[in-house]
Amino acid sequence: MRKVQHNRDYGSRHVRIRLIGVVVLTGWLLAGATCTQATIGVTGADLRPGDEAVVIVQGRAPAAESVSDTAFVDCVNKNLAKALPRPLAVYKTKAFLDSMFPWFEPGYAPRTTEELQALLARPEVSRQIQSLHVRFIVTIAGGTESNTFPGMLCSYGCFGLYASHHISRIAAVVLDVKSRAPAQEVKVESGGHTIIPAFILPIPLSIALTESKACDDVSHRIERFLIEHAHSESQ
Amino acid sequence: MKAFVALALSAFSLAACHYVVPIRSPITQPPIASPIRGMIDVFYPAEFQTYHCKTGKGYIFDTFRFDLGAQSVTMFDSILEGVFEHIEHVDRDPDFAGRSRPHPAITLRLVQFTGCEAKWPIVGTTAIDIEYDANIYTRTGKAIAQITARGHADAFDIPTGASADESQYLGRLTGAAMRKAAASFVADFQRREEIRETLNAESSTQP
Repeated sequence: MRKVQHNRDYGSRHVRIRLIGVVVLTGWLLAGATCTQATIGVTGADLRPGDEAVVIVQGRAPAAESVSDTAFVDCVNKNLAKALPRPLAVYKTKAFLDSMFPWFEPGYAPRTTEELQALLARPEVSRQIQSLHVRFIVTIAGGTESNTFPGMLCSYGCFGLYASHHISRIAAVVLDVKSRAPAQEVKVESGGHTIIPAFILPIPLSIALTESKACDDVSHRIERFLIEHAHSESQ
Repeated sequence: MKAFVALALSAFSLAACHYVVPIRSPITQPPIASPIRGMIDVFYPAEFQTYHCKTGKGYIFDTFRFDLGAQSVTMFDSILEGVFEHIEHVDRDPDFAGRSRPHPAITLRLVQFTGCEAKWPIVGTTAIDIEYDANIYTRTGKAIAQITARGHADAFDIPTGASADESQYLGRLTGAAMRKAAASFVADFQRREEIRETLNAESSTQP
């Protein structure tokens, strides 16, 4: 009996020592495995000689709307970079903003021909715009409004219904640096519903991708305008 | 049981990581500006140059350290090289008390930085505010202007497809807030003609 007790004590101490070992070892392994130091890369411009650059920048968004500006500008940038024929070429927004700092930062970019002219009246700005071969400046503003019915409760599982109606309203203004023609405005509105009923697990029946649709619509309309405008100028 | 909990906690603390947030000066070249003639002395106080902070209790075990001072100096050096024809670093506060100096001067101060208040979950929810103050003095030590430069950055300032790594996310947010502060500084400075006129007049009479 005593021997058994002794064995049990020995056993529990042995388990404890092993447990300590496992816990400490796990800690060290976790520390070694997960501590990585991040760095940030830099992107550049991609423009060939003879190209006329199109730049897409963030405009001034109306207040009180949720705005995913950077993501939206990135989306329009990618669509236009794929769609526009030479000699029109999209100048990467980040590279352009760096080259023109701070005059095209969000909140400072011109939205009207008059504002553009006032900005180009600064000789240093005008020189830099010319050296970058910028022909069109597109400023984009807007955002997404959501009306939500938050009828879902989650604790040990989720129950109820989450429903939301989204409307994305985007306004793009196209400014022609070369002709200084009046600014052209492109407005796009896109709506949709997100419906997620839940019985233990949420089941997404419908997810509204209004910003994605608005991005495609606005990109397509800007593309059409730029091609027509560049074409009519060359005739 | 208590011993186990203590051990588990110590194991977790061993597992906790200490990160240096990768902050890069958001200005890669001097701004497009019409520079003010002559030389200006630039004074960065020691607390500005060496400013750093760590996230506190809000983030369970990992620690994020922001070495903001060095990057703020790099950023303002770039800005001031675009805004003034020549700059010279000085190591004494231009607290003149009647003494005249060869050049006008500018001093920088960090008023607010909220990066170290970041709480879990960091990615997607953290916002960072930053505020700098710049004081400008004539050669005789008269304060002629104070320019406040503020920047705010949140999830909407992070590009799509950016890494979800927490330290990188904090670095990008800090950079975005600094960039907005820099933009407001340059734009404000360019618009305030009275400061430019005073400094241009000072430079025309520099010894």
